[in-house]
Amino acid sequence: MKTKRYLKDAILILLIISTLFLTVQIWMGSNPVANGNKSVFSVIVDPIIQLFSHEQEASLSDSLGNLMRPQKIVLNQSTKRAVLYSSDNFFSKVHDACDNLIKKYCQGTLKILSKETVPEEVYYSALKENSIYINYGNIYDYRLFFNSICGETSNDLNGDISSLREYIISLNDNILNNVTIYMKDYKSGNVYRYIVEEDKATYDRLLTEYFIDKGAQTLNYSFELNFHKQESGVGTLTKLVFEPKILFHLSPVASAVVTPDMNRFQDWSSLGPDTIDDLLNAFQVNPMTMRKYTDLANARVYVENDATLMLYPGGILKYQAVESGKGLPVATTSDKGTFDIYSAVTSAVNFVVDLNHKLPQNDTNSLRLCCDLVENTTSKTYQFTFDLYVNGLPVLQIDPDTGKSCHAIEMTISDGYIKYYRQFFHQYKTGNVGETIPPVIGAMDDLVDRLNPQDESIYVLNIARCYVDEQTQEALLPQWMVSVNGIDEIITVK
Amino acid sequence: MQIRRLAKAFSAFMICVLLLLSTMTVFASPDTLPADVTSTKDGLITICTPENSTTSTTSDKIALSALASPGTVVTVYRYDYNTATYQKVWADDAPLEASVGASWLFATQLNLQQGLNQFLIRGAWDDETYSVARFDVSLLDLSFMDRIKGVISVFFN
Repeated sequence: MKTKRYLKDAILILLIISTLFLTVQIWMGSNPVANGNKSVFSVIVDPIIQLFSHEQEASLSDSLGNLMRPQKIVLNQSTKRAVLYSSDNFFSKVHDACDNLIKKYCQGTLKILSKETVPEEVYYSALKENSIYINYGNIYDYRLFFNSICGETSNDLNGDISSLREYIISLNDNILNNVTIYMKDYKSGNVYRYIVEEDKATYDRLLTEYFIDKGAQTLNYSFELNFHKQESGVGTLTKLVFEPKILFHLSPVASAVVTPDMNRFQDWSSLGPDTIDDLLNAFQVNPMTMRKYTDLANARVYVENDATLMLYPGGILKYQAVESGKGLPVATTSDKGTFDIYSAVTSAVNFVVDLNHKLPQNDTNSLRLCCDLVENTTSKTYQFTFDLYVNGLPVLQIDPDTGKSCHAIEMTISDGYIKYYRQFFHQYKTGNVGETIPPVIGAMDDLVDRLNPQDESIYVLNIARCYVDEQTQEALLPQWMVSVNGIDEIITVK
Repeated sequence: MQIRRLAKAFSAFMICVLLLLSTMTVFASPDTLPADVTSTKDGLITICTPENSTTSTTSDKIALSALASPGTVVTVYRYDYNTATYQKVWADDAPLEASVGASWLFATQLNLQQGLNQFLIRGAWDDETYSVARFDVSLLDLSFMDRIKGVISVFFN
């Protein structure tokens, strides 16, 4: 009798254990969540863990810091001036030193000696003194900027700065051992000057170390050339008016060529089925329920309920949600009610980083956000672009359909859902520096010839160099890229 | 008869070559200009920087920018005290001379010598039609500025 009861209990315990085991098996192995194949862990468990985890915030800050790194750093010492790009060895050294100063300010460990607003001319004159000019190339919302530097969104600067594109660390041409930080708020237009107690010699040493064995470059800001003014002295209407801080290379610029690296990405079949599955998972395309076919352009097309994912032979991935569909959810549950530029950028950055980590030959260190990151007042739809940087310069691609230049990543996020995503997966390797491109004035002549302004001047917002990949497999030489009225014009000067 | 035909063909060929060359040749400005040179036509060139006709600086380089209509040949000259003439300025084995393009822009950097530097900019449409503009830049001794700073630092520290 006793043995029978023990046997019953044992069977019951075994049944309970097997029930639990099978339940876990079903949860782990199936796709019980509608609209995709996210596991229970990613839908239920992960968000709970994230609530108690500071790791994600830290990694977000790192990702933002990497993707929002400066476009260029300009060093000024006495009569010498040089511009550094992310490919320069000295770039990260200077960038780290400047980041540390801003971080100290954010953390409140820096003694502020004075704070005042100053006229724009004072800001410009700081660029002519011994100084370090950190230029991001795009306007960033203050929360994103400070999160990218110190991992926090609020600090003492919040009251002054709501969006910024650059800052200057001026080493003052005086005998006092302090440092001046200049920041311009792009929303109000105010320029703030913060004099802080900091060892000036640290930054002086950086400049001396750089210039000790390097000659100065032939560089001038447009305000130094008076090319930022609407009219010349005798009343001749100028054809071009330049943003005051545009740098003019007055002599030919030595540049390296880059070539497509076919060893790192050749075509989709070289990635293997597991990686393709990972890509499908990232876009919540369920291999069990999707429709798959190859279109006339030889692209692999995966059709899910309300979206299409296309893998083109040239290395372009395109995701497009149908107009009535929501798209791919990327915002966290807490962001849903208050989806703004901050949530949109963090969602976009997390998505891009996760997606690119799934590709064995891809890394996000070469990517950089290349659009203004400020609040969109008219709608909750945000468009973001990322450029692939090789040799410190962006590589643009020519869209075979439109013939226009495209960024490496273009995406649209609306109310927490990705509506459109396009990424070009080519990788490049740097060749030797041996070629030169003509000075920027030649490019301006070509720009005027192309746009042919009649009665009003053209406002040039930015001039930079870039590579343009026309998918000819040939070595790419930098070209001038000019931003006019929000459009980037690529100009090849022979 | 055949020789005459050949001569005609050769002459036609030479005329074509000369015509082609004439369109490609840009006239060069003279290497020297007399100290009292004056404009034959006003307003062919407008200097943007330096803004004043007399400036001083501690930097041994100065930016020169100007506006001129497309096709104007802009040349930079420096006054030579030995010959009492303006001499064409050379940098990297080339004269500081350029034909202005559609942007109307001309810009370059000038190296300064210690003391007074007298420059002349000539904007020319051809050998007879040109404007000239002068400006002087004094390069101050950096050690002199350092001495002033040293005196101030003694008071502050």
